[in-house]
Amino acid sequence: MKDFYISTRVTGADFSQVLDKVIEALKSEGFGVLTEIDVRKTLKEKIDVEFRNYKILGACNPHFAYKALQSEEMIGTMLPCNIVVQERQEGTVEVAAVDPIASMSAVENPDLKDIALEVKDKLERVIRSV
Amino acid sequence: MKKIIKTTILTVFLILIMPAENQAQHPEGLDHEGYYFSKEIMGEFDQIVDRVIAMFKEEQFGVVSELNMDETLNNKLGTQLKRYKILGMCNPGYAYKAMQAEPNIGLMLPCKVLIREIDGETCVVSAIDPESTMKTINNPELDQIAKKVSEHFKRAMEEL
Repeated sequence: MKDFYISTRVTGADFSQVLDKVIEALKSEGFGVLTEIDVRKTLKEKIDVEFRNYKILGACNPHFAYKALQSEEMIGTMLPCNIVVQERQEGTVEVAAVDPIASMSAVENPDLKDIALEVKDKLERVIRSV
Repeated sequence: MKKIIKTTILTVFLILIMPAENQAQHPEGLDHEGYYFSKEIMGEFDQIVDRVIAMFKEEQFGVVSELNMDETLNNKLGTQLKRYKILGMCNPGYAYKAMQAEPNIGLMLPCKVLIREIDGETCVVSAIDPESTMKTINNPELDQIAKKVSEHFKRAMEEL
């Protein structure tokens, strides 16, 4: 299976602490969190299933987002860049960031690839710092 | 070949369910580029947004995130982008199945639908085609789910 993300696992950690750390790390790389979806809560409310702690953060670095929009006007269908924080088992939290190179591979646009590479570097730094 | 059959079935189905006047109103108009479905719509931005939400609701997809990219970028960078809204659409049943098939698929969720203002009278609505974007993951179980979601999206876009 081809990896479409970059990830790390944190053991012996509390879910909400990891979440806070991720948000801080994103901030220091110039990404703001624009959307936050609590999957566990949504699934419980909508279809009454029990799900693990699972949050989807939509992160955006305005400079890169603007550049991406300039070179591919439909790229909003892939924005913001997502980061998933989920509890894989008790005490183990996985943090994954989308690999923009892989996710944007369906788009044939060489300009976009350069931007995706720069964003990937930043997201890799975020994942490493958690 | 499969795609042709699928399109034919869908077209026949749409002809059966669509009143004749609707067909005339929206003759073709739906573009399907590699990773999205797109359509130009005449009308006022906010009204089109409401219509998009209603059409996706018909297909059992609700809005779970909403982003005004123009406001965000114009405020942060001082740019002057026209209206550009990104809606995150979710059907909890499909999302649940997809996450069971692929634990990190949340990285591609919710599925995005864009509404872009071209001028005061025209907007372009574009919906991601998950069947094409999730194919790169090479997970057959996920492909089945993505294919169904794409069918819903295509239908919502055609009805728009």
